[in-house]
Amino acid sequence: MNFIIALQAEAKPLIDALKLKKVSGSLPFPTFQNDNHQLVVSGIGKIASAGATGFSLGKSHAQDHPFPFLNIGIAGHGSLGVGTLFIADRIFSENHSSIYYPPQLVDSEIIRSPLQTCELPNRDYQEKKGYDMEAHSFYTTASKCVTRELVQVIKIVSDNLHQPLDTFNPKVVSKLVETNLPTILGLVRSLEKLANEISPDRETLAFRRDALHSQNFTETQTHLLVQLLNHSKSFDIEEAKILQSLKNENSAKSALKALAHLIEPYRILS
Amino acid sequence: MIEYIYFEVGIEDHPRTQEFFRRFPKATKIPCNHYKEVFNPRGQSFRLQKKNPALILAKQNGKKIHPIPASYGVGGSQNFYFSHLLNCLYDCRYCFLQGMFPSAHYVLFVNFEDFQSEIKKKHDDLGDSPSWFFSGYDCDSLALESLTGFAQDFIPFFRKLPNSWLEIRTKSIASQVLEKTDPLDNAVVAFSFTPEEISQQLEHKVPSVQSRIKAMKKLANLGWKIGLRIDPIIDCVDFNTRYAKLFEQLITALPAESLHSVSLGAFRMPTGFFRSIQKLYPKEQLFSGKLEKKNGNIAYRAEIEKERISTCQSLLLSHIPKEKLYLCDPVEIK
Ligand code: SF4
Repeated sequence: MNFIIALQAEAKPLIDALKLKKVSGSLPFPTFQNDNHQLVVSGIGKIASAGATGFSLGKSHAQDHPFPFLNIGIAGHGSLGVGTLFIADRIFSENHSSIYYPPQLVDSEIIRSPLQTCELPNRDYQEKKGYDMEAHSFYTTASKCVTRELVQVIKIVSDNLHQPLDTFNPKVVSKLVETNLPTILGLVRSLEKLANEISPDRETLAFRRDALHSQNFTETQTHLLVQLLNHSKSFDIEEAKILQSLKNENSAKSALKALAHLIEPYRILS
Repeated sequence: MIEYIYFEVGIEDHPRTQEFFRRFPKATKIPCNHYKEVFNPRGQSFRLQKKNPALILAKQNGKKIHPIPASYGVGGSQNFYFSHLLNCLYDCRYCFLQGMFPSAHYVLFVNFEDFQSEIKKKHDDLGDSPSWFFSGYDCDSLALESLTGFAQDFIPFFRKLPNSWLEIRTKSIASQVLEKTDPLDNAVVAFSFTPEEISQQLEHKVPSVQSRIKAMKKLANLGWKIGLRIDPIIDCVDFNTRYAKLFEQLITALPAESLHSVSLGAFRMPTGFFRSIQKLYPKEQLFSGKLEKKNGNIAYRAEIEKERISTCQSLLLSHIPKEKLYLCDPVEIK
């Protein structure tokens, strides 16, 4: 799971709850990690958010395992009360024609709301929607590499018509996130569960790595090998038998031939 | 249960849209300018969305009736299909929709009246020559009837067009809408089948073969014409025994006069669709079968395809006259 969060104060409750450790070294963004989570503090605004999301994508090996991406932060809102948590079901921006509709598959009680990403802090609360400064560029970047069901934006209302931005006390930012932490962590777990449904399991990945290292396969041969390995998996052919058939051969070409030969009798629906 | 309804702002006031809003008061309603903003973006997971598809209400502004080759028909010389709905309640592993559409959300085109005026125009243009209109090309015609009201709306409409035939293709047993109305002389309710074991393995969420036979029999006894669609034919162990048993079950369930046609179709899928579906379900045995690429499609190796079709043909011809048997020639993609 990857979190992209604009302010350190917004990130703190999550860093504490998930026991994330700061990654040392010279990184473009403050980054915190444990075995399963990565949190990047982006700074305010669209450019910072896009940059931090791209940086996080680069570090997360999204191609092997579809890690969810979650943008969390505070936002203004035209109708919701201060402290209310909402999930964005439509994200748009003043200067972009693209509108995002994050598919909502997680069954949760979180309120849904449209969200407009603005260039400058918003002081006009006319419409029933949220106002932030990062979500649109976060979504643009993350959804290029991660399936959209796993890219979500949740915000906590910090200001509205009755408590406008000018009266907002920045010291309460962490408190706003902290109060909603149980719900946020529930969503995190649900998104992780969803991601697992479409991820190859660790053993499959390890088996694939072993098979790929059994011979010197060219790129085209690797493609064919992965296809044959998937076929062998679909028929539950023993992994040891497959690795042996690959290793017994003295060239990549004959290894592929041997594997195809091994699978052939299984190729029928039972 | 529909939890999300996306709707094009242009059809917000359409009576059918308003009816949905009334029926699903708790659903979150999200406006969009065009359904493609929600449905078309790349990078959506059909597999994940299939768990809980949203409903998208839209207007079909483009062409609504499309020609299909006579080789796909069941005796008519003018054949058309139309799609009032994109996507399906069921989840057949061989379904090309999973490869064709980027999203599993249901798109319902609410402007039935525009579909009907295009059909009417076609009917008028074609004069006396009978034409066929196939529904259920991008969906199952009846599975979501309680949601869409498609048959309820189109059956009375086709009753006024005696030269135009309607095929309602389905794997559903939700046939109450047909049971409640007089059979339509110019309609065929076409049920698709694979043998029970194959259905259990590949046709997820589809009612059992037995319950479909029961529903089909009931409609036949009420006077509806029935079509049998053995499409796609799936290669499997004990092929002959399984298909022989299926045909026996189907034919004995139907009064001979109610059987309109039987059609056979080989398993074929455009290569691009096949590759997309294979990525969704890399461990699916169906995709590891004895398949090959031919003319832009993935299909069973030629000798297997030929053998399986010919087996089905001879098995069926021991039950039905050859005039009722049709072979669906696949469209070759160049
Ligand atoms: S019933 Fe037809 S449309 Fe529906 S999933 Fe199965 S093959 Fe596809």
